[in-house]
Amino acid sequence: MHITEGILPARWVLTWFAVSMPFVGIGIYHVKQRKRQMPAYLPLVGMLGAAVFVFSCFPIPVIALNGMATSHPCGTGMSAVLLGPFVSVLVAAIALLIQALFLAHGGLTTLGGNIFSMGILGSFSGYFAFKIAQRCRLRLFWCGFLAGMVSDLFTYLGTSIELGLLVIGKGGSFPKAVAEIFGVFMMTSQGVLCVVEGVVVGFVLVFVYKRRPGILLQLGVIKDDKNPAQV
Amino acid sequence: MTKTLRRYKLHILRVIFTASVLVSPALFAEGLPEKIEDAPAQASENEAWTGIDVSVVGKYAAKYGRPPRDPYINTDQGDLLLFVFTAAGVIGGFIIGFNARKIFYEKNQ
Repeated sequence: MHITEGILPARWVLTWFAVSMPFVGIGIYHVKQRKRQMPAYLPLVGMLGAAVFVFSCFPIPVIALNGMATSHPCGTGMSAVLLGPFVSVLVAAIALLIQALFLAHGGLTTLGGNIFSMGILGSFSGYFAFKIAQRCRLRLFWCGFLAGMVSDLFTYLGTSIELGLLVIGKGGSFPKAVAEIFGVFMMTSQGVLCVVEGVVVGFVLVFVYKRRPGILLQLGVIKDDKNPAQV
Repeated sequence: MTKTLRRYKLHILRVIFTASVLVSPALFAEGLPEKIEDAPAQASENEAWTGIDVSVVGKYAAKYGRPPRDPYINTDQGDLLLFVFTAAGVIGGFIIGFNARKIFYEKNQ
């Protein structure tokens, strides 16, 4: 989903930066607040930040409808559930900045756009998918599964929207372009990978619950750590 | 007995994790054999093992008149990208492992 340097025109570069930066600012504020309340919060942010960084530049070979390709998961669904959506945007922004600077992956001018798709859309969609699944009284694994899957789909939908916006003023149809690009993403690799990401997030949440349920309780992910039925 | 078994399991998990972190950059480096500026003209989503950042994003950007160009700090030169990805994988893996141990395994937490 990384949009490479030079793809976005100046007006969209500025727009996506203007949209993304307030979320990053709120994320910094949330980290400062939460680290005072919970001693293990900073190590958790460090761990999930590194996980999002590794996940989002980890090319997984997939054989799908459109042949053989490599693509990467995003990890923002997992970080949004555990750290909250705003901190997850911050974590994604740092990961994307390092990738743009040193890994020739993404770009500095397209950083705002990439933060919007992977950070904002990925984190908030995953977070709300998790909350809705919890309200439907699904087990923790399935809540995590939906969070991971939905965040992956929305990240790639965000990239499709950003690319689809390029047709405006050139006589193309925006909805048609978005549908076409999103369809190609799904057929090439992401249709399979979003399921894989969902499974990984589900297992991570179950692991944390079994190993340190107190963390999930403190983070507000679960309400009751004595209820094994929710796993 | 249970403690020894758990320790062995942890050791095996650590070895698997380290191996996967070290192998991942090599996989990625093989996925980007061509220069990014040439990608839109040559790559398509049907090419084997091409990253979709190049094959899909690059292709559609070129189609809409905004082809990608080289990054400002271009590490995609020779084995430099392989080195950078390996270093990033090792550092990322270390940070994950160090904090995971601190959060999930140390008893005073």
